[in-house]
Amino acid sequence: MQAQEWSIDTTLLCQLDQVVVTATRNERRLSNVTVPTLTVQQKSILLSGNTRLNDVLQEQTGLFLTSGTGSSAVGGGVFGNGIQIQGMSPDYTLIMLDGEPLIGRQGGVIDLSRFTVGNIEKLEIVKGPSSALYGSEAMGGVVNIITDQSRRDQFNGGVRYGSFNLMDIWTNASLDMRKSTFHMFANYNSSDGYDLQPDKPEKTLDPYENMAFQFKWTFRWSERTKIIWNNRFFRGIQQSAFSINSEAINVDGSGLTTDFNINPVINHFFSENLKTSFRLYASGYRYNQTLSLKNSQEKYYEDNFNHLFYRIENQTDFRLSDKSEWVVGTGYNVQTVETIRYNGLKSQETSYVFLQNELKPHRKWIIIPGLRYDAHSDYANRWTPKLSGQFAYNENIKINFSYGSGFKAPDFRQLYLFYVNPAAQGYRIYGASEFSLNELKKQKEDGIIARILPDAYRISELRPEISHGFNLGGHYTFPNRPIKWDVNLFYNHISDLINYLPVATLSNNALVFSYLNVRRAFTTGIETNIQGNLNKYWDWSVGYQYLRTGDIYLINKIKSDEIFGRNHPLGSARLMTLRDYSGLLGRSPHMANAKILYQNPGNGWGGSLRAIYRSRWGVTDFDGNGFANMKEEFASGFVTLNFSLQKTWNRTWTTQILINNILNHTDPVNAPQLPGTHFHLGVLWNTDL
Amino acid sequence: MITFKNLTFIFLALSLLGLVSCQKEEDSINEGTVEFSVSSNAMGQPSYFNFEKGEAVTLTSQDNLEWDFGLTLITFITNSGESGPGNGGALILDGTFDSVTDAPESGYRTDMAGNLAVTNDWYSYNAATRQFSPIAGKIIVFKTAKGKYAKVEIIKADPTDDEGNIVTPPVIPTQIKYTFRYAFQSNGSRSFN
Repeated sequence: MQAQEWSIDTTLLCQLDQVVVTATRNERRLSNVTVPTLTVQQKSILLSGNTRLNDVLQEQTGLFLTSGTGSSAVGGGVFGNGIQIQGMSPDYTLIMLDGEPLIGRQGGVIDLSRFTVGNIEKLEIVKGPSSALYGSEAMGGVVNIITDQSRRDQFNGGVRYGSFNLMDIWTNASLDMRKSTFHMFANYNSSDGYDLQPDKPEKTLDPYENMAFQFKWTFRWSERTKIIWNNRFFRGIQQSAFSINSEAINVDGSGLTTDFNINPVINHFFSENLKTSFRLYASGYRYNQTLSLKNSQEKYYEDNFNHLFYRIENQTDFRLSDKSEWVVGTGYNVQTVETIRYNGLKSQETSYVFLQNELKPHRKWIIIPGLRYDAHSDYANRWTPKLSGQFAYNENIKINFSYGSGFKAPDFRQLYLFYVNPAAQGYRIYGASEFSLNELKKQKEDGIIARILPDAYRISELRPEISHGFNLGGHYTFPNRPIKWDVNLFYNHISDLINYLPVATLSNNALVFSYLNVRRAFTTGIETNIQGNLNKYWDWSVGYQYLRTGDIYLINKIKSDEIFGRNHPLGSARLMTLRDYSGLLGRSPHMANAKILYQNPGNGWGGSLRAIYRSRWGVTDFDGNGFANMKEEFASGFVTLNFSLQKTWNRTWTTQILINNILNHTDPVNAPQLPGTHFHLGVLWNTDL
Repeated sequence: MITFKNLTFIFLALSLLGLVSCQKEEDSINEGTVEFSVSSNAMGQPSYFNFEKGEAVTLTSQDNLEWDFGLTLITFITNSGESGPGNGGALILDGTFDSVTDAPESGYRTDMAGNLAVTNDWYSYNAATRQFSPIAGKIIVFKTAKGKYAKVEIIKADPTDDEGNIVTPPVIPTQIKYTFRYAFQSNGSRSFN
């Protein structure tokens, strides 16, 4: 697309009424969507200068970049930076590429820095549970990465170079013919990493090198039939170097990540009122890490993880009348995982069916009930309902409400982990499928286990974690002004949370852990966004989220005066009250952002200034009571200020500068993913062939 | 961190004052906050503590009454049962240090094979971060080797190297430095007042 042609009637931040697909699995105008949906357009991504998906997402309201529950402890790598939505961990967010789920969760988290933004047409983010449409993981929300699907002949790309020897090169070529459209994309991205603690021999982020390719072929067989072949490949190497009980680096090595997606789709329109889509999907994710001792080259650590996912799916949409439209789908998937941490190759199968009916009983009302059934091979089956609706009070005011259930299937780790810690007294963690009460009793007879703890008697088939999410919100479009205001109240109740509990002690007093459905928690809050444009060149937006979370079990224990804590690490214990309770770790009560974007196609200048704030959040638990209550247990809140400026020459060439984290906030322990002030320079090109 | 250091200093100063004033009021109670470093190797030699002396003691044998409890990594032994010849034992109470005004009359466990007097209830372990922390509000009441009573609140546990410097992953600690507060009733009664 040419800068000069960027239309000015749609704004950079919000095309006031665009078409989205993720919320209902079919094309709908954003203003008619009944669930909280946020979009990020290519134009604003390009203008921001950001190159990786995590950088783009963390600038959006209510999305917080955080490491998962099991982020890498060695090497300070970036693995495990995922997105928290409505206060739900990255483990509970479904990430999709062109409508298909991405795999490759390490410690529960898909690392979003694996994804470049060069060929993203837009991002659609649906908040709240969407499991009634998408199944497992769509509990906190869904992020759908939609890649370039435009029909034009073009060749564009960019080269960026900056701090920490960052090199980012991407190119996107598309060719549109009578029956076929081809999109070809390639990206190379590397950096030397950075060091936030120069007194330590390790770097905070070690050097890495990523490559990604995508090929999409759209073949219009006939007026009614379209075939899409979508293919992506990624390869990334992350160096690791650190010191073990030494002043200098004495262990080093690297981790290699490869993943691929192959996704052929056939769409067929039987009539205006009936269409169907067959989708095949295969995806693989492989991670290998080998670390060795520097002096002897002796192997120090080895990890491998190989995950394969296959899916076949049909979705049929039909319109009975102007007042009733159906979406009906069914699918089957099988996945396998192999790693040295589990006992052999593990596989799981799921079959599912879903239906959704969109009703318009009155011109002011939209009501959408939906239901999905998932049958699993390895854990309990699950019905998932959803009901959402919209009431259009008038053209400018629309009220949305929704109830949805969400679930997250027990992950491979929770089912199959087989871990004996060589240090720490040899404590053990068994996945639920690797473990039974009878096995414990047998081990007790054999003298391996000394005591079976009461929780062991609660062990049963692991159930999916379940949420019930309620959203109530509205849009207000100012009359005669290009300003849009959204508000959304949310409440998510999560039950059957899977946690590990001690179930036995070994004869040396070490603990044996297994996974059980035990805990209940909630996340609730309010989110609001206002966006608009001052004139045809200047756009602005302000967003804010207030969040409260809690572990219901802990809250009840606090109410019954069973929980103690300290005011500082060496202080005396005192009884905790609800006033001391700060909610789940890793959640900021306040998050806000403000953005100004400028783009003038006339003189070619453009730029942006974005400020992102998050308040303090609990990171650790010195006094063992399960939450952060003393000052030392919190990471301090901060503001990041990001800036970009660009000038387009001859409608083809754009030169760009990005300066991120201008205020130079760093926190190597609690926010290692945030380097100090950094910049890059870029040259982008854009040619219509 | 300056404030943190100040707080620590003030706290230590106050606890010293507290120690002095307590001894003035009640001669038979020895009270204090001590640092106690133990091996982080589960199979390592325990470090021993003697409440009467109010300090760690170095021993070559467990077969005597010179120690009241021993600790390796996170495993306590008491001078009782299979661990030693004494009249020791222990139990864990919920509450603040001050709320335990008297040692319970009964309910003390002794060390048996694979079933030690001090159970795992005093700490919480996070397998994801591989960190453990002493749980605030857990008071271990010990019977000493000679059958007297002491109460202990474990305040802090830091992984350290041999010199006592705190280490963080991926450095593997060789020791755990505990900070705990205790009160010992030397007259043999169960009262801590």
